[in-house]
Amino acid sequence: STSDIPVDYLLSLSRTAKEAVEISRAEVTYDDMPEYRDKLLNKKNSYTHFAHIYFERYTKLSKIIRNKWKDCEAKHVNKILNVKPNELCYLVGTVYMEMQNKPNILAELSRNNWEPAPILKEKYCSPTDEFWLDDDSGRIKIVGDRLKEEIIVSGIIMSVLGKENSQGEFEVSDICIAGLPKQPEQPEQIYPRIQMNIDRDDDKYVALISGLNIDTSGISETRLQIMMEYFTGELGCFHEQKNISSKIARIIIAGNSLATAKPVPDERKQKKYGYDNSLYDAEPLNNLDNFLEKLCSLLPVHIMPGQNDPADSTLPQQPILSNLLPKVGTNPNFHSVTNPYWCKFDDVTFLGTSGQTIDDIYKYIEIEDRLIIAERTLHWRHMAPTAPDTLWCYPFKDVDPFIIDQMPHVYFIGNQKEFATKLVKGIDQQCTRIILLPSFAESGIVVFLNLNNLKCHTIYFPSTFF
Amino acid sequence: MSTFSTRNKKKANAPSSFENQLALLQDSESANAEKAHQVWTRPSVPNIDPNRDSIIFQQIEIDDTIDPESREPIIRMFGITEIGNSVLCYVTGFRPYFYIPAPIGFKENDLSNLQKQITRAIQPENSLKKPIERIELTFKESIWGYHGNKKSQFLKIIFSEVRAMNVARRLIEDGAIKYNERQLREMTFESNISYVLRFMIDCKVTGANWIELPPKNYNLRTNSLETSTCQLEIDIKYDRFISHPPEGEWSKVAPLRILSFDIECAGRKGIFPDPTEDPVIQIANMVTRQGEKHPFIRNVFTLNSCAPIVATDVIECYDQGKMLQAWRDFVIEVDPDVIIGYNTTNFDFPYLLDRAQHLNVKKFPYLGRMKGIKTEAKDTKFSSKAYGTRENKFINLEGRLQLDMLQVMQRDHKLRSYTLNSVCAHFLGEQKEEVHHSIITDLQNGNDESRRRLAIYCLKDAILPQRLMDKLMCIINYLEMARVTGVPFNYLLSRGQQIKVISQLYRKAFEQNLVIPALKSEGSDDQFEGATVIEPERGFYNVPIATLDFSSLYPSIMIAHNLCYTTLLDIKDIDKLGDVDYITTPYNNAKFVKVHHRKGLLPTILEDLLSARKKAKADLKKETDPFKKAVLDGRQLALKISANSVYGFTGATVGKLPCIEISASVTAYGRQMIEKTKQEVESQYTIANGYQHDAHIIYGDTDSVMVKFGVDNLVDAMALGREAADYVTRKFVKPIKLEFEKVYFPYLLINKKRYAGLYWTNPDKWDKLDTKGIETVRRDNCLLVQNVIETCLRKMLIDRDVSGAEEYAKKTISDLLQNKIDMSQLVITKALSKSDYSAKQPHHELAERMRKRDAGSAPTLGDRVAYVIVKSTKGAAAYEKSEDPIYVLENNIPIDTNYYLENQLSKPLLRIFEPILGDKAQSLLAGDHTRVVQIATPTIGGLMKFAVKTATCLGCKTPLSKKDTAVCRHCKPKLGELYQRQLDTVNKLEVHFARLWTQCQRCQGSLHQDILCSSKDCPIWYMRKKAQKDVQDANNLLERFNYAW
Repeated sequence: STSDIPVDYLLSLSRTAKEAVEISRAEVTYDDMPEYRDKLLNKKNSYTHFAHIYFERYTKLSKIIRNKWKDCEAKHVNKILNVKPNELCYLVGTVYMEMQNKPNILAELSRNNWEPAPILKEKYCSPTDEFWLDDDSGRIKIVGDRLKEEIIVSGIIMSVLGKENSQGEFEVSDICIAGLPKQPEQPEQIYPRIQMNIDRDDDKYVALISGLNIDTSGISETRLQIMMEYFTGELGCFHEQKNISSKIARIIIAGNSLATAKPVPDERKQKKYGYDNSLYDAEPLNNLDNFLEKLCSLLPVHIMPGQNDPADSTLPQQPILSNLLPKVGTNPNFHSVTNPYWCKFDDVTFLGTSGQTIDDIYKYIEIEDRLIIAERTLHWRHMAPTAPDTLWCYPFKDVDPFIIDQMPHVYFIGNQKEFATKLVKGIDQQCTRIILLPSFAESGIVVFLNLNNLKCHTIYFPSTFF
Repeated sequence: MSTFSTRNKKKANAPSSFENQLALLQDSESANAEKAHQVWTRPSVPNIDPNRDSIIFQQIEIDDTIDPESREPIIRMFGITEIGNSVLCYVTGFRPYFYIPAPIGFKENDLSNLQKQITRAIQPENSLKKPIERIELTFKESIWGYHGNKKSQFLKIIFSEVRAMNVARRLIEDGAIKYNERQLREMTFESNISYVLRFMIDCKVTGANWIELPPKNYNLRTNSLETSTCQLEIDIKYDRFISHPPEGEWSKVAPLRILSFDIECAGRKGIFPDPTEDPVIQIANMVTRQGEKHPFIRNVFTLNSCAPIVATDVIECYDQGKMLQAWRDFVIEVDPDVIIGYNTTNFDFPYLLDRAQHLNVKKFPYLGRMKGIKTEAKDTKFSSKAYGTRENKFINLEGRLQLDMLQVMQRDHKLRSYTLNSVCAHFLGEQKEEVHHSIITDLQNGNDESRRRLAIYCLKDAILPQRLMDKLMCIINYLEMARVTGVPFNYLLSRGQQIKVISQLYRKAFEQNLVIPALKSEGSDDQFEGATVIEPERGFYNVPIATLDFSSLYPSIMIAHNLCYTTLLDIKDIDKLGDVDYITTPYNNAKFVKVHHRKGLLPTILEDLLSARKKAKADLKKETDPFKKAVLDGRQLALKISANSVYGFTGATVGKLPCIEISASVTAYGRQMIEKTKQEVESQYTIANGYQHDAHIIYGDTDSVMVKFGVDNLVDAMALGREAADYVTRKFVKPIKLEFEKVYFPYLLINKKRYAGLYWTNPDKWDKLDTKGIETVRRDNCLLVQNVIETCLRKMLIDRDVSGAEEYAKKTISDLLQNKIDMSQLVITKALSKSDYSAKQPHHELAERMRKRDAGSAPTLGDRVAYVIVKSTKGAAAYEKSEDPIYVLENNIPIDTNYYLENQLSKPLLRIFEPILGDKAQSLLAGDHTRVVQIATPTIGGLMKFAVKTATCLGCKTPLSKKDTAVCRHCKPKLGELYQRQLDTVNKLEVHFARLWTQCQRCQGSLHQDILCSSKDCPIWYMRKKAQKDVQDANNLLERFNYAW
């Protein structure tokens, strides 16, 4: 359902386009969804146990799952430790996976000083992985072939049906998870529009970009410039300007706007044993500031922090401090937002992350297809189950901000290996357009999402002019 | 139901299949209820016809008792049959005896007269009618000295019971008996061996071997006559059963039942639990059959209600006394053969017994297998040269073996700490959640959920000793040791090394008609010259150093030179004996006859042990079954230890049969051999003889020499090493053998018995980094020392980067002085043992201070106190400067970094660097890197009341004026960069915090509960607390930027 436009064609058109007709830019309403925003901005300087976030997640999601078994004849056991041997029952709990290959700080600390550090594997999973189901009473080991049929990672809330065997393990014959959440009722349903699947004159687009990876080297500069010209309308013919460029109402930048920051040693002072005197190169940040300044003069830009950006590293990442970008920081078109990020343009709800959530889940399972993983997180109703176990997050006390309690219309994941998209539909007419965004610096791809029918297409920007 | 796969949807919606399943389950459930107790009991006894069936069992314990009617001594053998029935076998008719040399001119018909005389002499002290059964005239030879292989007359005096024998022995040794008008004063022989061991030796019973009772020879007791809780009770005469040597088929092990348990007490805050006050609230039990992986009984007895636990039988009791009684009944019903736990001997058992007495539970203290014998805790003191002096409790559990894993650990392993936690971390590679005892009472007083949490903790403590035992294969190794040395299993833990040699010595002497004198042990501290070494040539060797080892040096010297009691030649006897061939040893001209006159007893024992070990090792190579492999490995280890302890036995001056001529000759030979090896190698491997370099011995220890052949590569060094070993071996008497084992490259020789090197056995890949005498595991060192030394060694030896090691040491010192070292690295721990120390000790002083602050959380007797040394007034003693690490963290108290540098780091550091840097090593401790010092600002203390806090610029540290929040005006242009730097710090700390706290969440086995663990042995504990504080502090700094723009 995507229409990829060859950029050579665009470039050739730009030189012939002479018509000077005024085209106004499309506009959308913007709702920053405070019900989510406030939770995600809720990082207070209070560091304590991670048990609370698990507990919140379990309380919220277990109710939903329990309801799903209501027709089941088996007994519901409300506390895991109440399981009796050989009795068919079902229980709900948080999955915990015991994995040898998972990074383990205790093992690192107690490692013998003359053993070399173990090499971290790309994936944590191995045949020796154990599955446990956990609630506030305790945990039980779950076994059975049924587990192999399912995608299971640490931190998801799951229910299992089965029996405890003589070894004290729970033999699973069936599994149940929360399933796709509902979509709030809307006066004008999106679903029929999607069904119709046609382009219209009043189409509006949101451009999705991730991984600008701006650094000092200037490698990506050409690519950025071409993209900028596309947004200003300098690139492309009238048709192109009219049908796409002008219809772009918003831009979301999903993380990694800067390349990995490398501290540069201060060469003037050669203090060997003093305090840390390394400084950070301000150049990339200035470049980003300049770039965003131009972009924001055209249209509103929402920038999410990513792994490499100058923001906190634990999820949810807080907005990049606007003071760091003095030129664009005060521009009303500039929106520095959280990662993950919920928002609504017109009646279309967006949920996006800068990629860390899916990257971490990817390590838990053998499956390579990240689209499947992303879809799975909707079924789990949780976008980052592996936080806090292996994905670092803030220890929230009375909320789990990663729960997905309504289906977004658009669910984008930044900084992925390649572009992919899929429309997920639920039985209650809820639907989500999942988009995996590749890194712009590597792929040159920007994704355009049509707010009207949730169709999306990509545009490729080359890294050289000709 | 959107999330079900279709397969499951069907299942979930099909009521018929569910109902069937449920129905099925209900049936099995009702059956289960009855089964619960059937699991506890042993398999039932098959029908036995004493006229046709033999009974075969593995005996696990042997003790003696007295027949209540006839007063004669009886042997009790407890054991298990192959199908798991418990057996008590009474062995009757065996009589104690000893020997004395017959008076000169003694005749057969003097016997009855002598018997009368002795009987008369002992009767005032012994009311028995016939204390002496009979006296026999025999021809025997004393083990002590060579007498030309001539036997002489000995009287074997056989008593009807043990006490009479002991009285007679004393009287005869004191010369208190008159015989034929003359004083009968004789040295007694073989009178100082226990009745049980005597029986075992004479009947060829070894520890834990299999006993066969042939049909028609035994009597099966009927119920009414049974004296124990064993399933089978049998009487047999001592000469009617078959004792199978533990070889081939008979090396198997019966399905022993092992009970591992742990108790929890509800103590009061700040007071060590007292059995007259504090109740036992939970007892967790795991019962495993030897050889099986998982326990087949898992239960917990709880006081008050407790929520159910998966795969565990929760037995709720509502009365303290009833709970103890229920547990006792459980023990009797399960009838374990082995009871294990952690510190059960000195804590759990005595506590249970005292508590039961306090509550007046009369039936409780009967935990052994004998009906009517009360279990008691008695104080014992056990001294051994090898193990030191230990005060212990002794718990009598007739017929059951006890293996307190704490004692096993203290005996067999040298560790930094012996808490269950650190032992498990060491051997099982996992941390154990530790719940502080002050929380235990709170959990108990909560609800059934909190008691469940406690029960889970208690169950974990009950399974860990079992897992430790399985991992270390204690049962198998101990069984094999008992079999090899022939002593009962329980001697291995309760007695020293000597008894094992004695057992073997008696057995061999018995075969050869030798008798062993009962020497009065006279403690003397005479120390003879030990195995001195070739002076080390200290230094760092960046060339391969080949190591040549004498294999089983001391045993092979004894074999080679026929050194034994039986071959020892008295100078006075030489003329009498006429023509004898003998050797004179390098020690004091001690003389021993050569082997063609007489083969020594000790060399025979040693040869047997060494060849048995060779065989076990060969079998081990062939064996594929893991369990049998474990048995064989245990055996070869036991054989090795036994062979080496023979030498020690002859040298033990307070021992049963010390012989300085043997032991001192052995070490003297050893020294000579090391010297000779040096000469041979250095004169053979020379440029003059066509080799590339002159070989040089740089160091020689007890049984090894280090050779620098001069070559620079491993392949040549190894070839030369092998060649030299063979060459030198040819110069020695068989079976002395010099072996080439390994090459150190590089090699850091610090001093005598102190060295480190990279260990190679093949030229392609090094095996390990080997260190000797570099005390990185000493307990009064903090972890920092261990880490620095180990890392420096790694850099020097593995990375071959000496300057990198130097740089690292400097960096660490610099970090230390700037307060950048993690607190957990600086903590020193010591157990609070006695309540009054004569000398003031830091940990004891701290415990006192903590008690004043908060009696509830202060460490109590037996707790381990962790402390760090903090800055104090000048000249304050170390014991005044100890402080609780948590208190230090919370109040920002400055650490006395100088103490750590001078008292902890400097010596070990200099030691490893001096061989390389010489005098320059001192520069590690002073110089640029020690110039920058940072001291924490305490939040408490006298002076701080008057101090005014001023924020400093985050860029250049100058004090800030009131209107600036983050940086001064000079640094303002760099605000962005400085912000990023602080952000980076915060991010690192946040990740550190998250990693630590999620790890604890993982380790405690629950995601949904707060972390309770307070294990001070865990490397994470202080780090976790510190991370929490650090991340908050760093965030506060970061927030200052928010207002700076």
